[in-house]
Amino acid sequence: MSPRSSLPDVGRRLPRPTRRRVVGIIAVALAGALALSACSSAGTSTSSASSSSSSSSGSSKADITVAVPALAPSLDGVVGGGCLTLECFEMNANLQAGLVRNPYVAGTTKGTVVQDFNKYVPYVAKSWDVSSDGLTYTFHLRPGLKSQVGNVITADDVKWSFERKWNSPLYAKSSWASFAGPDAITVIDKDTAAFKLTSAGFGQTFLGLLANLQGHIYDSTLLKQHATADDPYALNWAKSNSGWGLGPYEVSSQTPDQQMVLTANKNWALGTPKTKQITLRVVADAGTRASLVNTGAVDMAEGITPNDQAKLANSAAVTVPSVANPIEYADLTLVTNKAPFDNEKVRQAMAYATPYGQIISQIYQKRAVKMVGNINPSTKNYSTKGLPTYSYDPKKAKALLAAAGFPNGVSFTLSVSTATSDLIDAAVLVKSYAADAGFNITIDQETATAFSQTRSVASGQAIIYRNRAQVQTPTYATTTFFKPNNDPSNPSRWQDADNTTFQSTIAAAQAQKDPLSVEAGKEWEKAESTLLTSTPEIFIASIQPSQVYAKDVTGYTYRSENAIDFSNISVGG
Amino acid sequence: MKKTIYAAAIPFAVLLLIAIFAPLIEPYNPEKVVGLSTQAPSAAHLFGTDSTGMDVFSRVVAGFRIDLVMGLIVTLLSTVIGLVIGLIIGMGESSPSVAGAAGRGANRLIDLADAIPPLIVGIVVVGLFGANIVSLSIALAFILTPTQVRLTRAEVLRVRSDAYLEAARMAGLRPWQITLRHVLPNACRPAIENSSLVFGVSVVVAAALGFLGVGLVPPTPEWGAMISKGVSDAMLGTWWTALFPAVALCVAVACASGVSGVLTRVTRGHSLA
Repeated sequence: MSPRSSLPDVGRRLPRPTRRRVVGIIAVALAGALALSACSSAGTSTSSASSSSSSSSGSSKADITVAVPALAPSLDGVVGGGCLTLECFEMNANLQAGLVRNPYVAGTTKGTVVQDFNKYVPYVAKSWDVSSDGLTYTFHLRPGLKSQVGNVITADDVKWSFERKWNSPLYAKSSWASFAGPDAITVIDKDTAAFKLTSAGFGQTFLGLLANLQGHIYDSTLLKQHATADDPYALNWAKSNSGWGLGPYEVSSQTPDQQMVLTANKNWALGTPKTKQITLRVVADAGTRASLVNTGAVDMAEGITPNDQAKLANSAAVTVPSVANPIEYADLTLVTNKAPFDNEKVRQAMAYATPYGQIISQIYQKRAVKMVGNINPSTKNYSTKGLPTYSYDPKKAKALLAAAGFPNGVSFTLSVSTATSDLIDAAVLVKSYAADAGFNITIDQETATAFSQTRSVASGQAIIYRNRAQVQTPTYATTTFFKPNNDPSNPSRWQDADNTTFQSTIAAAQAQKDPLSVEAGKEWEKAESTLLTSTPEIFIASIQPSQVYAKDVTGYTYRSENAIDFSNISVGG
Repeated sequence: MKKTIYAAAIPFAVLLLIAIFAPLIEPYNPEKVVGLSTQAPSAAHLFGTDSTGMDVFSRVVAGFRIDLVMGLIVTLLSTVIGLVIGLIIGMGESSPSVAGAAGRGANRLIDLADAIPPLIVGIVVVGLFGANIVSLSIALAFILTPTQVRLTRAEVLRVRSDAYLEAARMAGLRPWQITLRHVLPNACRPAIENSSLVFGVSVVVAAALGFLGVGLVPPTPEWGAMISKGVSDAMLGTWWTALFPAVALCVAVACASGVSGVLTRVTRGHSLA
């Protein structure tokens, strides 16, 4: 007998495996299924907690609970934290305040307001004057205005705030094209500061920047108390501590990744906010957040998918807001510093291969509007009529590809962030439809951090993401994303003869004293025409706000950074 | 009895047939938008459509091909590698030579590798080498090989003291001949029997990676990614986008367990039946 034939004897010493093994395998399968469901239940468990506790807080008119996808990693937002997410924008909008702001006017949806981007009203400043040459803006502060911790705010705080911005390595100073920063600010007296510009045409954008995330004023006394030799502007301390802003709220408590409580600022420039306390509860899953508003467990929810918004539109308990001119948009950027999109005809072909209508109806459930250029169509003396437009036309796309020397089509990789589920779906739609137009697309799904890197260094071939102009002036919209010389804020790296024409047209528009004049409007239209013809970016559609709220909530604000201004919200009554 | 044991493999065989003939079964291209988004199951779309308008039935069927192929590759890789390493460690670790020390060291390394969470390994490998079937299969094989090594090593330690090996040595066979001709056939059974479990775990871990968003790129019809997208939709009533791929995942894993009995039967010979 060979050793092999002794196997049965050896085998008998082993346990009989079949039944136990089957049970084991099923146990592993169940464990796997449980692991899968556990991955998604983080949001669910949080939501049940929020459900039980918010029923008491949600019923109170002084307190509201908001389900959010995440908390801001820094309370210092775009300045010290360099944070460019919606969560950070919301902190900026509610914890801080600027010298001026855009006034709120009635919105399309009943009970909501939107910003009027053509006007500015006083905020931290009581008033301001503009010199006759349009180059000097003198702001008069509200006398005796105090910060959240009670320090009196003076013109020195205004100048120091800009010193702090200009000395923050993560702050994008380039937006302030014709304003030189703290050196261009003169403190006239304790309540008066003068800002000097180098171009009168920049004035509208200058006010826009003062009104937005980039222009907020701080309590220098408090920040200096927390400054160190290595950190003279308390950039590190301010990331996780509030009280130094002048906005309607301050942070009274926070548990990272779980909950943050905002309490009304009794020293706020515009009085006392109607809602005294805002509880931001993290609920990771978008569907769960939508469900919580629908069941009345929370008052508002953010980051809701268009599919869920479409379902909630028929709910008797929930309002899904819409606006006439949505600001955030789905942006398909074609990176022009490498093939295949270094060829204008290929870019135009892609513009004809993009299924705009299908994305608007399938992905955004018609909660999106086709865009023509990136200047807000409500801009005074500006019209999109006569500008080049694209629609899905695979035949035209194929003809353009053939003319560009690609009769057999073109392959490229489209990068998208895992944080934007609607855009992953949009990318799938683009891939599916563009295939019929000769484009073979590979979708590269990247983490939010990796995608941010891909965008800033322009390492991909094409990217799809949500974009917005924080300041809704034509100057900001046209200059911010198309700067030449390999500027990281220009994700397409568009730099050719068309870009030169584009820049000179913008310069002509800015040379006008009033950038909203009829003459300037014509120049903006010319610039947009050049941009759309060259097509470094495909403006797919502007997207309606991603928030929803209970029917008894009023005062929802639609702002350029897509954040909610909680000071305007009231519940019930 | 014999028939019952072999009958247990029939469901898995059916799944393999579905995987092989998937392109003939799918009514639509599983990676193309073919209808309106989030349509409930109907005659036109048996399992409904997902949030982009792709046919869920076609994607679930296509998922069999991807997940079963990946499971089979992983099972083959981890079992073959596990047998080789297990044999080398088991035969050499008690030797006072350098090879023995290396074997003992390798054994400790296997223990260490077992301590690393499988999903973390998967995420790192996919991050380094990209999300495709090859890199995912290598990641999963790396995760599941230590178990096969351990089973083989334990069996080798038991087998190598058997009298017939001494007889083989006295007959003049070289160590590698003894290992291949006598130790391997007698020590491979536990790892082979365990391969159905490896298959099941690999399918579940692959789905978990897809669920976490580090699996195959969209719109590849992979069950984990489909479940991940569908779970959120289910909160407001769109249940079909997550349910059907989840059922397919459970069925695949459960069917793999049926193969276990057959493998036992094959490796232990007919007399056990």
